[in-house]
Amino acid sequence: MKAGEHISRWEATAYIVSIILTTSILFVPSITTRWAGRDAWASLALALAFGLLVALVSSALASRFPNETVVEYAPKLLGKLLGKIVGFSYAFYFYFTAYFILRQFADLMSSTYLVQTPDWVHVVILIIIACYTLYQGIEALARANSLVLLPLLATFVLMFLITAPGMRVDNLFPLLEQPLGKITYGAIPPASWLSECAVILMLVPFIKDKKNINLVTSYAVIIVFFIMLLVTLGTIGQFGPGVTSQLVFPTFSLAMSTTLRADSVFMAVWVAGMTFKLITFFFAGTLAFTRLLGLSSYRTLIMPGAILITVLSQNSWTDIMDEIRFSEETYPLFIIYINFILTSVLLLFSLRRKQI
Amino acid sequence: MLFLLIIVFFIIFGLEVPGLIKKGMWRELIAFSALMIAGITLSTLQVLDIPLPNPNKPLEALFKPFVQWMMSK
Repeated sequence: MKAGEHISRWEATAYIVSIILTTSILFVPSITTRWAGRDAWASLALALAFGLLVALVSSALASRFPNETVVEYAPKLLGKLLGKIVGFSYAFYFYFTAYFILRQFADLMSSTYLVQTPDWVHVVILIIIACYTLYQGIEALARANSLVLLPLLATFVLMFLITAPGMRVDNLFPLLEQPLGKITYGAIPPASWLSECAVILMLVPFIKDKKNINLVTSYAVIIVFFIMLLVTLGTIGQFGPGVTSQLVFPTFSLAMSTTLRADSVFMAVWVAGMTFKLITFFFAGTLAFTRLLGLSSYRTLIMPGAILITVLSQNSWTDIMDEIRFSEETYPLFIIYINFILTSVLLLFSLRRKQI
Repeated sequence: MLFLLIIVFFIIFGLEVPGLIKKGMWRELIAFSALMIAGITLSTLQVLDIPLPNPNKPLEALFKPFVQWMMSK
């Protein structure tokens, strides 16, 4: 990034909320309900506990190296070869998430609103915006995000309040009907999304006040949890656990069920949120590859990176059902592995190094 | 479509490469070129409808045992 660029703590929190919320909110109600039924709230509570654990672990690691990104200090902790492999894993994860977001965006747009527009048009428009923003720098991105986040959060709360009169409370009872095993499996996808707060490992060099970084990530996880809970309770209350688990985009269906047609408002803020998420992971991936290869400027890699993630977004999933299956099975484990297991290993090595 | 793609690649090369050569940023030029070649190859094959290797497959294979174990519960 440009020298001397800084973001405030609130901007960092808002930033993390945006990147977790926009994609998780699309699928979490149906995926979690498929496992946990009407006890999805209990799965979300377990996911919150895990999310807070990842927030603490990643913040503890980030605070130990406040002026470097994870790709730079991994070789110092694990040795050059292993450190570079771990650095590459993070870089790949950031790019992977970026092209997954691009695909999810194109799919929702082409299956709900702009059904006649070819997929690649959505993808190309979004990637051009992403490239432009990356050239502008993180400060501009974080400021714009803080402006968009409040309307985004307000939309979810309003949507819940508007749909509340039509909800059937008996859809949520009896409580704890499912066995603990199913509730735990239902917690894995939301837990993995909440673990995305580990992006702090790339953001911390840009935060102005680096004290108590754990509060930045923990507040973000708690805010996202409450919105996930509202939307999940809202969809189960409205449609019942059986229908919710079958819906492709449950949150969107909830918005469409309101008399005010809140879906257009939802779409407007959701598109903005999705753009921020894409840009954040695209930025994190480009910065990670830049530092991994020892280059002086990340700008050189923006264009080739954009081409790669555009192609991979089109090539990696056959259709929307393939994407949902992937979101439910492989993706949560992959991101938990990167955000929690790898990050914990690095934290352990950094603690050991300090003792020596 | 392929024609459009080639024009886009030429524009990108035209915007980035002269600056890198002028400043003597050879390391950056190599990284840029390597990634561009990968991007050009993949996108050309995609446009020509030639099947590409799917990067999700190794990931799915890696986590499959755990997914199966979860599903069997």
